[in-house]
Amino acid sequence: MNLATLAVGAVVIAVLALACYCIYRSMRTKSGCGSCGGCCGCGGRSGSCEKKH
Amino acid sequence: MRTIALAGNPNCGKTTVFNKLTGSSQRTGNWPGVTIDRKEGRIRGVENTVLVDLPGIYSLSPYSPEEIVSRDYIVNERPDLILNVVDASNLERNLYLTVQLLEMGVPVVMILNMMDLAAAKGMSISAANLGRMLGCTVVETTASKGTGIEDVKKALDGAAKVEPIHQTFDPSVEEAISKAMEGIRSDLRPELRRWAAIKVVERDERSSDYMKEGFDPEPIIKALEDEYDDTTESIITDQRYNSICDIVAGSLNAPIDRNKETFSDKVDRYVTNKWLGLPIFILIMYGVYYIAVQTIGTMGTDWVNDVFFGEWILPAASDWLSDAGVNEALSGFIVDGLIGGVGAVLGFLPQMLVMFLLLAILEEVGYMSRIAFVMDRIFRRFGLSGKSFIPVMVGMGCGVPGVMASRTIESDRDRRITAMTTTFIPCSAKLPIIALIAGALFGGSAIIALSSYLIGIVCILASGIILKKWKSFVGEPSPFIMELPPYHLPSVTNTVVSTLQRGWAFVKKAGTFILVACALVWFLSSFNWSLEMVDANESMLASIGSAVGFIFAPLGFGDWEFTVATITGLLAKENVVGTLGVLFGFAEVSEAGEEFWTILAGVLTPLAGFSFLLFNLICAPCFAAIGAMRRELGTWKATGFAVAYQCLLAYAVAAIVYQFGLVILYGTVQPAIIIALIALAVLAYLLIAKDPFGTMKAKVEAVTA
Amino acid sequence: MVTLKEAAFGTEVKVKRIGGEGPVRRRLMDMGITKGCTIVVNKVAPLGDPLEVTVRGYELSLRKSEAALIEIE
Repeated sequence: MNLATLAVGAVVIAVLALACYCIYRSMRTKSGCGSCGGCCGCGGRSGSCEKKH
Repeated sequence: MRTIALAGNPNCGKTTVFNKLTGSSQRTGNWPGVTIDRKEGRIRGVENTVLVDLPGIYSLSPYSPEEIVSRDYIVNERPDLILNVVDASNLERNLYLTVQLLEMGVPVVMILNMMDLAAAKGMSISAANLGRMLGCTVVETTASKGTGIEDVKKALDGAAKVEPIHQTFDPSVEEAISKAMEGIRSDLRPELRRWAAIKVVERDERSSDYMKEGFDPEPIIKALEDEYDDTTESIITDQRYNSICDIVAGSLNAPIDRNKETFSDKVDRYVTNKWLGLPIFILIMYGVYYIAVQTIGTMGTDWVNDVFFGEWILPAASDWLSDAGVNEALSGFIVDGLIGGVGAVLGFLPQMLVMFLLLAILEEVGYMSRIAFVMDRIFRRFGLSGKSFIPVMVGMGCGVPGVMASRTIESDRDRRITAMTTTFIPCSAKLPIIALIAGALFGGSAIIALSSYLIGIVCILASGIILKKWKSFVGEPSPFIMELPPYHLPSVTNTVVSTLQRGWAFVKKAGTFILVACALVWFLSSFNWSLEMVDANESMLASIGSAVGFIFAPLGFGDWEFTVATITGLLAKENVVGTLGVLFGFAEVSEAGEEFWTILAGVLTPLAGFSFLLFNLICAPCFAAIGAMRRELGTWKATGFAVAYQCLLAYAVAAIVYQFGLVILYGTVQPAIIIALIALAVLAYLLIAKDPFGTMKAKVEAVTA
Repeated sequence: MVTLKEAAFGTEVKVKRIGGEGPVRRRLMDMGITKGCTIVVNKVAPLGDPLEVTVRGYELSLRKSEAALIEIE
């Protein structure tokens, strides 16, 4: 286990942790758009979106 | 802290006004007891003021949840001011809500919006006259262009000083109202007493909330109805509109030329034409997929796969990692797992962007209500309403707001069925799956994409028939009465912004959900249960997948990789592609994209691929969409039923397609064809029998008795 | 009794009475269809239903079954 592996490994773990945290955060938003992480694409017309159009 | 309520008809530009006034300070919450979002925000540049967006309503009668929510808000929570957005090009009908708002004892400021459209219609309105006759401040705006917004903010202060003018009805009606006022509860605010009295006279559903104990309004109402030979509801509505006509006549500088054909009328002549309407719709959808999947989008995707990943990122990463002496397993994890998986999905970004752009244009233009109009007859034959088609269109972007858009359907039954079937339409996350199968196995044909879409619609219609027969779905069919708002030329900014927003959201999803899923997949597919590094076929994932994979053998894709891919699709549908990318070596060779597709083509026949595609399109959607269904259907039990239904239908369709496909294309008959035959028989029974569920239930009861 | 369902395309008709009851009736009136108002039936959807009409200066679509509730002169 050399230094490079350690460093790269640490970075990978950090990135994955950040990703998990983002997923957790987006699961907690009430509106639909937040929870799927994707965009609602309703064009503001469905009245059910948190995003500004 | 001042609270201002924003009220207006649907399609009057209220959302645009709200956005312009509050900017990014918007927050979304919930109205208690109903599944309608409550939007609030601070008004930029005005101190201590909160703007509450009420749902779009045509009136304040308590028949729909939107109306009830708005009415209760104004009556119980008493905002300091009401901003009434009115579509100037549609003045008479919009004022119907205005006069009702003016009766509620809260100061009103009217935002006369869409002045540009009114001008195009040849209308010249005197805002001053309008304000004078109604007794409120009127501000002219064209919110889509931003004009007048600052004037609105300025008008907020002086509003309370303008005296609303109570519309007076005919003498007999006024007399009835005065008599009714005597019967109103004494604890009701004085400024609401007249409004409450009118509700009583109208026989409003909730008028008993406002009456004193023991007060009987019947004699008053009966007398009025006898005098006019009509219901009090009609009498009051008629008189309201009569005075509105007078007000409008007094506010127009010149009478309107009703016969002027607008741009919208011209377009509609073709789009809703008796013969052309439906073909035009199919042509448009084909065009969308053709441009996105088959041509322009594909050029972008090929470049991303072959050049960006194939020649730049992947070799660079793997070279760098090996030069730095990083542990081989870790390198493998990063290159084959993370970059490989996420790369396989991101490769489709160009096609998604094109798709998003085209959909954004269709939405901006206002094509959606036309589609509902065109599709209503078909949908009704299948037990749904044309209005059920709008969630379908929205669902092409993302299933979550698609499911939520079913809220606009008044009938409970239709709404629930729509919420359950909207996800049959391929959402943007499923597009990579379609594109992958179409690209690897069918030479990028747009027909495959279009057929996925059409099969989705067929499933929705068939489900309409089947689910209508399930007892808990019996209910009133919803009225179709629906406004057809004029077309808008799509605003370039809005469209581009919307496209980029969605594209960015897709990238973010790739960097989070898909990244984590691919990490997991790589790990589980590279180690066996003793945590030794092995070949994929001996890994933990392979054993899990193989244990379950036999279920899918009759459908043509029993290999464990596909089982696993389908399951990872529950987290995000793009994962199906991501997982296949990890397992089939997207990262393997330098000409990555092409190799991956070729490998796939070696493992899956076109027929099996199509069956796999259909299964993934129809079966349970991603967790986020399941969550949205739960919100609309109300209980986990109902959601569970919905998911089970979707998976069973997916299985049946894939089985039928694959098994009969084998017979037709290759003349091969597998033993598993029995499954397809059973599936076909069951579907036929459910579609044709009058009361299949009742009969089945009776049989079950007879057996278990 | 002649109803909106039987009205000829393109001609202006006047509403005499609105039948039906409950939410449908309320909805029709809220959308501006009242006694004495004029309606023009513009066209019918490609598959024969619903209808598209012009009332009070805007376009409304409604099913033939809903139009049948509107009595005209």
